Amino acid sequence: MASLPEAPSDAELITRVLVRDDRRAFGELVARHQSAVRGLLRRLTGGDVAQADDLAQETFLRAYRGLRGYRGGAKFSSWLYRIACNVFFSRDRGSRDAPLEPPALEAGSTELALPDRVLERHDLEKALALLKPRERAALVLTYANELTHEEAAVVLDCPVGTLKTHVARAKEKLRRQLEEVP
Amino acid sequence: MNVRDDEAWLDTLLQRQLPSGSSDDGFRARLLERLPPPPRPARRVFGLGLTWLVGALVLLLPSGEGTGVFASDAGSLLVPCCLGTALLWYLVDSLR
Repeated sequence: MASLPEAPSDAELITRVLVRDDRRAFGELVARHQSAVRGLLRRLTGGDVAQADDLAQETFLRAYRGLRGYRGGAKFSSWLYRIACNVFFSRDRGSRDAPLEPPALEAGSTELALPDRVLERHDLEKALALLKPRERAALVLTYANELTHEEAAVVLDCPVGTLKTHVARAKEKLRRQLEEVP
Repeated sequence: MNVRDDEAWLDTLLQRQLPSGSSDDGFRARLLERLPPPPRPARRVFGLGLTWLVGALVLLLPSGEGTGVFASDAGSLLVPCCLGTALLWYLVDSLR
C-alpha cells in the first residue's frame, strides 16, 4: 500500500513563500495556525469574535509582510503569537493597561435557561476582561496555548521573572473574581 | 486548594472557555484576498526588453548627417544613460 506523502513542515512552507511567493504555501500555514491564533485573540479580546478575527487577519498580513524577519530560532507558532499580541496591544495604545469592558450575556438569555458551561464561560470571560492586557496575555499563553514560561516571555518580550509575576497576579485576580460570582 | 488542583482548575476553565479547533469559516480565503498583489517578473522583463529595443533602434536611426545618433556628441551620452537608467529601474523594482 502506498503511503501518503508527508506533509511539508512549516519551515518548508516558509521557504516556498519566500523563494517563489507561493501563496498556496502561505494558505497552508494559515490553515495550520489560524485556529490557535484566533483562539488566543478571542481570549485576549474577552470573547469578541468579530474583533478577534479582524486582529487575526491583521496578524497574518503582518506575518506575510515580515516573513523574511522570521529567523527560525523560535517555533513559527510562537512568532505568530508575538505578532498577535503586538497587534492586540497596539489596537489601542491608550488602553494598553486598561481592563476591557466585561462582556454581556446575549439579550433575552436568562441565567436559568443557560447551561452551566455557558455560565462558567461567561463568568470566566468577565473575569478575564477585568485583568490588565499583559496579565491576560501571560495567563492565556501559558494555560490555554500551553506555552512554557520561557516561550511566553519571548512572545511578550519580557524577562521570565516578569512573566511569572504577571501570571501569578492574573491567577490571584481571577480566583478572587470567580469566588465573588454567586 | 493545593498547587496541582489550582493548575488543573485554571487549565480546565481556560480550555473550556472556547471550543478548541475553531473552523476556518472562510478566514483563509478572506486573508488570501487581502494579500498584496504578486510582483510580475515577466512584465518587468518585457518592460526592460522593450526599453533596450527602443534604445537600440535609436542607435540605428540615421541622423541628419547620414550617420547613427550614437556618432553625435549628445547621442553618445544620451543613449547609454537611458539604458543604464532602465537597468537600474529594473534592479530596484525587482529587489522591492
